[in-house]
Amino acid sequence: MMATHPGFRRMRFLFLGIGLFALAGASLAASDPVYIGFDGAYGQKTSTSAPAIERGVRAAMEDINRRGGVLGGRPLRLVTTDNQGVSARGRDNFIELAQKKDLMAVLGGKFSPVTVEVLPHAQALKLPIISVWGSADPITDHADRPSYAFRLSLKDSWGVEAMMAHAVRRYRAKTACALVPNTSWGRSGDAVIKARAAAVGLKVPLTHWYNWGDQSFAGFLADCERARVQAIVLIANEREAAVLLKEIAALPPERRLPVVSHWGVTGGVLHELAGEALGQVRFEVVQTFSFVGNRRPQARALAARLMAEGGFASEAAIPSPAGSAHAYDMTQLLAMAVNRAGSTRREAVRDALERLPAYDGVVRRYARPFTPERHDALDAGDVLFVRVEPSGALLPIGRR
Amino acid sequence: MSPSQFPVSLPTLRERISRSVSDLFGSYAFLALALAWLAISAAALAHKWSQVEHDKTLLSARLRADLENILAQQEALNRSPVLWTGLTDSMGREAYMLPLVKEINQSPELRFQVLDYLGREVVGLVLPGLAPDAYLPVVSEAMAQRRALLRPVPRPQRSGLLVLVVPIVSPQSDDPVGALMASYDPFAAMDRLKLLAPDTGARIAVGPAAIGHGGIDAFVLTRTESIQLGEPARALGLTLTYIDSYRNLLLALAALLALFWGLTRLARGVVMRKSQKVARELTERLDRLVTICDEIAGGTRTLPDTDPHGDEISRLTNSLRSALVEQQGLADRLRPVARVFDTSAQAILVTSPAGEILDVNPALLKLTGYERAHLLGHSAGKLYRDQTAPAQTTEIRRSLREQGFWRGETQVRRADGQTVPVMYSVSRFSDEFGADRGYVTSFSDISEIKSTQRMLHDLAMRDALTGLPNYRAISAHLQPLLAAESSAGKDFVLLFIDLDRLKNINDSFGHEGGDDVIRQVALYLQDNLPKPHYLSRRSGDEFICTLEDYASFESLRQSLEEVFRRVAVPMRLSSGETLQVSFSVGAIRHAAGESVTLRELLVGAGNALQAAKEMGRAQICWHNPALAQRRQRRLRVEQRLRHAIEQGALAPHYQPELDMRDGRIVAFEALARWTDEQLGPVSPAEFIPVAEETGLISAITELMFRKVLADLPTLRQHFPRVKVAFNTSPGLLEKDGVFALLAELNASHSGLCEALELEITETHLAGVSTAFMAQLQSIIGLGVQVAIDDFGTGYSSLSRLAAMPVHRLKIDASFVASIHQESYRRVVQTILSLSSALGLEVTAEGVETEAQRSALLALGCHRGQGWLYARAMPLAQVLALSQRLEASLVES
Repeated sequence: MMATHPGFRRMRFLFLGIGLFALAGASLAASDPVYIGFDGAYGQKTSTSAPAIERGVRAAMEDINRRGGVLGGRPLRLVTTDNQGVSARGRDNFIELAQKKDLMAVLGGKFSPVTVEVLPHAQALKLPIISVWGSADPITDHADRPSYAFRLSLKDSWGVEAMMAHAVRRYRAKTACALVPNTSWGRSGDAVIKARAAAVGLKVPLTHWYNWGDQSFAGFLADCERARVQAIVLIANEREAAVLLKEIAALPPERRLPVVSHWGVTGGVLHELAGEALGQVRFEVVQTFSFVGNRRPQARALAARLMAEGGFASEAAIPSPAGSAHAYDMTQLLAMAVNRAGSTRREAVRDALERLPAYDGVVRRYARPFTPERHDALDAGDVLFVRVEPSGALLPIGRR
Repeated sequence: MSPSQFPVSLPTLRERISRSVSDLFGSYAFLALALAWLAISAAALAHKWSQVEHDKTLLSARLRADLENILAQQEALNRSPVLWTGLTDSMGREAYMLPLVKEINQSPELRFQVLDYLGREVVGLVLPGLAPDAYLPVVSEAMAQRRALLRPVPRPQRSGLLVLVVPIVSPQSDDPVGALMASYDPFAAMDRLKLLAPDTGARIAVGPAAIGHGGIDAFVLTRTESIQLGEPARALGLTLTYIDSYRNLLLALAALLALFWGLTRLARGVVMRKSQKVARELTERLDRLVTICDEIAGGTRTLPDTDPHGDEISRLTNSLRSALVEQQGLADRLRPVARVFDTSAQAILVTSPAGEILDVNPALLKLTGYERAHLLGHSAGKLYRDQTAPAQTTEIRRSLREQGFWRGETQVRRADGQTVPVMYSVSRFSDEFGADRGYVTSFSDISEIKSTQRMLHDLAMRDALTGLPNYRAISAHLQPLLAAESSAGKDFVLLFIDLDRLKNINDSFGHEGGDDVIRQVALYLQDNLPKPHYLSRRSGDEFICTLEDYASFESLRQSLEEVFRRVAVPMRLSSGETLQVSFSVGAIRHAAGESVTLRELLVGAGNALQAAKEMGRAQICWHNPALAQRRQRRLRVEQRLRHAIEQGALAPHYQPELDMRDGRIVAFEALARWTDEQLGPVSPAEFIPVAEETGLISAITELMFRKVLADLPTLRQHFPRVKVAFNTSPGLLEKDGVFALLAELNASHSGLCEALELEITETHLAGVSTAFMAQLQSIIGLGVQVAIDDFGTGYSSLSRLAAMPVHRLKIDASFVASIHQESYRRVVQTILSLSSALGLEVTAEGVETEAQRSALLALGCHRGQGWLYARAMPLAQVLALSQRLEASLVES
C-alpha cells in the first residue's frame, strides 16, 4: 500500500517495542546469575588459602557454566568478601552476603573461629555456611537442627587423632607435647587430644596455649625437653609454625623434636617464613588431598587447569592444593543441590545438600556427600601426610 | 559691725565647729572602714584567684597523670597477643577475655572496653558506661586514622567522660582488628581530690567540646589549660577549664560592707555629742573677743587688754592690739609724705582702678587751671580726653596691663581748653596682696623743652645761608612721596638747579659776593618757580626743587622752560653791583607708584643736569632713559678707557697720505684705535671726546706717541722717507710734554724726529700762549714739522697763521666731502691759494671718491688721504702695502 497512515505506522512500532521488551525480560530472568559467596582471609598477609579456594570455586563454576549453568541455564557467580581472619568481620560479611538475592550459600575459609562465629547467624538467616577449610569440630558438631552448617574439609576429631597416630607410628612417640592456639580451633583440637590420645597410644602430658602473634615458644620447647617427649603435636598457622620451626632448628640436631602439624600451616607461605628451618626439622603436615601422584582423572584435570591458569610449574607448586580441591568439589555439589532444589531458595538448597546423590569429585568419590545426620563430606579415610619442601611444595609421604 | 549686715545669716561658729568635727570624724571613720573593706576584698579575691590557679594546676597535673597512665596501659594491652587472638577468636573466648577485662577494670572512674573493628563490644561484660552512639564516632575516627584518639564525650544527665581509643593492629593484617577504649570520668577523679566539694562551688569543664561538671553560673573565675599527652604528633590533647564561683565570697564581702556602714553610723552619733561640747569650750573666749571688738568699733574702748593665755584667741587679741597700735604710728609717719604730695612741683594724680580721680596735688591744679572740686570723683579722662592719639592710649593701657607703668610724652588739657605737652609717668599701685588699688600719675610741663626741640629741628633742616630747607629736609620731604605703597605717593617733578659759573663769580666778587649771589638766586628761584614748590639748597650753587600738585605736566614743563631759558638773569648784589647769571637744570618726572629710591632720582636728575651742561648750559634738560643710557655708556667708556690706557691697549693705525697724481705713499697719519675686550671696537669719535673731557687725552697722546715712535723704524725701513703725522692734546702742548717726549726720542734715535709731523688743530691756536709757542719752536727745532689739522673749521687769524712755524695745512674732510658744491670748491681753492702764498704744503683729508680726487687735483691739491685709497690700518697691514696705491673705491 502506497499511502500508509502515519498514525498507524506509529502504532505498529509501539506494538513491536512492547513485544521486544517482553522477550528481553524473559531472557533476563532466565540468565540471572546464581551466587555463591566466599568469605576468606584475603587480608591475612601470609595466607594463601583464600586465593586457592577461589581458584577451585572459579574452576568448578567455569565447568558448570560451560555445561549450561544451573537452574536451566543460569550462570553461577562467585561473590567474595575479606574477613582478614577477624571473626567480627566474618560475621558482618556473612550478614551482608545474606542480603544478596539469589545467593544460595556462603563458603567459609581457613579460619575456623570465623566460621564458628557465623554459625548462629547462618541458623538465624537460614543461609547455608559451608566450610571448605576450617577443621574445628563445632562447625558441624552442634545441636542446631536443621543445621545450616556443612563442611567439605578435614575435621579435628579425626584429623588431630590421625596426627597423634602419625606421631606414634612415624616417630615411635609415646609421649608428645601439644601446642595449640588460644582459639576455638585450638580448643577443638585440644578436646580431641584429650579425648583420643590414649586411644592411639600417646601420652600428651603438656599442652601449651599460645596467642596469635606470640614471638617465641622457647619456654614451651624447654618444657617439652624436660617432659622428655618424643614429638610435638602442633595446631597452628604458618606464622607461629615458622616461629616454632626456627626455634627447633636453632637447637642441636639431637635435641630437635619432630613436629606433626595441623594443616593450617599449608594455608600460607610457611616456606617463606620458615626458610632453611624447614629442611632441618622433621616436620609433617596432615592433609586431605594432594595433586602430587594423584591418579584421579578429576584431580589431574584440575591440576592441569590450575597450573595453566595460575602459571604454576608443577603440581607440587600449586599452593594450598586441598583448598582448591575442596572448593572445586563443594561448588559442584552446590550446583547439584540448587538444581535439585529447583530454585535459589536457601532452605531448599540446604535440604537438597542433605539428599545429594553420589558424586565423583576431585578429592574422592562421594557416595552420599551429606546426610541429615552427617554434614561432613570427608572422613578419616581421606587423611594423608605431607612434607613441606623449602619451595613450598607439599609432597605426600606414604599414602595410606 | 553687727551680724545683720551679712547678706546671708550663717549658723553660729559653735554650731559649725560641732558639725565640722562630727563630719570630719565621720568621714575619717567611713574612709578608714571603706579602705579596710577594699583591702579585705582585694586580698580575698586575690586569694581566691591564686586558689583557683592552684586547684587548676593540681587538677591538670592529676588529669595528665591519669591519662598518661591510661594511655600507657592501653598501649601495653594493644601489644598483647591475647587481645589479637581474642579478636580473631569466636565462641569460648570469654574464658580468657573476661578475666583480662575484669582485671583492667578495677577503678570505678576508668573503664576499658575491647571493641571490634566497628566499635562493638567484644566481651559482654556488664559495666556502667557510655551508650555506643556516644563513642562510636570516636572509634570510627581512630580506626580510620589508625591512631589513638582522645575525645570528651557527653553523657545525658551526667557529667561527660573522656574517651581514649587505641586501635588494635595485629601483625597478621594491615587493618586494625579492633580497638581498646578507655572511658575515664575526670570529674569522679577530681571529686576524689576533694577539690570539687559541693560547698566550694568549683567546677571543671574539659574540652575541645566542653563536657561540664555541674552548673555554671554568674560570678565565676575561669582558668583554662591545654593538656598534651605523648608526642605532639599524636595530637592527644584536651583543654581543661577550671571554673570556680566567687559568689559566696561576694556575699561575705557585702555583709562586711553592711557591718562597716552600721559602725560608721553608730560612731557619728557618739562623735556628735562630743563635738558639741568641744565647740562650746572653743568658742567661749571667742565670744569675749567679739564683745571687745564691738566696744572698739563703738568707740567705748581704744585698745583690747593684753591676753596672757597664749592660745590662738590670745594671739588674735594681741595681734589686734598690735595692729591698732601700729596703725596709730603709721598715721604719724604718713604726714610728711602728704607734705611732699602737696608741695611737689610735679603734678600728681591718684586714680582708682576704674580711672576715677581720688586725689590731686596743688601742682596739678596750677598746671591745669582746674579747681580741686572739678576733678575729684571725675574720670581722669577729663584731663586728656580727645587729646591723645588712640594709638598712644592703647599703648599706655597695654603697658600698664603688662608692666604696671608707662612713661612718655603726651598732652594734657587745661581747664581753658589749651593743651600742654607733658612728660608723663603713670604706674599702677597695689596693696600687699597684689590687688589693684589704682594709679599714681605724675607729669610736668615740657612746653619749653618742646619749643627748644623744634628750634633745633628747624636748624638741622634749614640752610643757614638762604633760609631754605637743606638737603636733609628735602630728603625727609621726598621720602614719603617716593613710598610706592604709601598713599602719600604722587606725581612730582624734581629739579636739579645749578648756577652756572659760580666759580667765576666767586673769583670776581669773593666769597662774600658768592654768598650774596646764592641768596639772591634763592629769592629769585622762590619767586619765579611755579607754585607750589619745595625749594631747597643742596650745597654750594646747587638747588633741588620739587614741584607737586600741578594741574598739568605740560603747562608746568612750559613754565619751567620759560624760567630757565633766559641766558642771563640780572642779579643785584648788596654791594650795588649787578651781574648776569644763568642756570643749568636737570629735571626728572616721578610718577606715583614708581619704585625709585631718592638716590636713583637724584642720579637721574644729575644726568639730566650734566646733559644740560654738555648742551651749553643755561637751559633745562629733562631726564629720559636714552640720556641715562648715554650717560652710562659714557661712564663705561671712561672707565674702560682708563683701564685701556693703563694696559696700553690703544694702538696706532696708520692711514696713508698719497700724492694723488701717481698714488705714491708720501706719509702716514697715525690715528689712535681702541678695541676693548668688553666694549668691542670703540670709535675714536666716542672715546676721544671722553678722553678730552676727562683729561685722559694727554695720556692717550703720550701712549700713542711712544707706540708710533716704536713703529717708526720699521715703517721707515719699508717706506723710506715717508713722514708720520701724529696728533697731540692741547694739554701736552701746554706743559712741554710733547717736547719732552720728542727730546727723549731724539736722544735715543737720532734723526727719527725728522720723520715726524705734529698735527695741531686750528682751535689749539685760538688761545696760544708764549709757552706754547716756545715749545712749538723747540719741537720744530728737533726737526719735527707741524701741520694744522682740520683746517677751515675754526677761525684762525691770518696774521697768527703767518706767524706760526707751520709747515702744512690739512683741509678738513667736510670741505672735501662737499667739494662738488661751488662754494666749498671756492673755499678749498682759497685755502690752496693761501697756503701757496704762505709757502705751506696742503693735504686734503677725507678723499673718498674719484670725483673728489679729480676736483682736488684740478684745483692743484696734490696730496690727499682718505678711504678712496686706504683706511687707517694696523702696522702689519701697512707693511703689506706697495709703494703706490691705486684708488680702490668706485665713486659712491
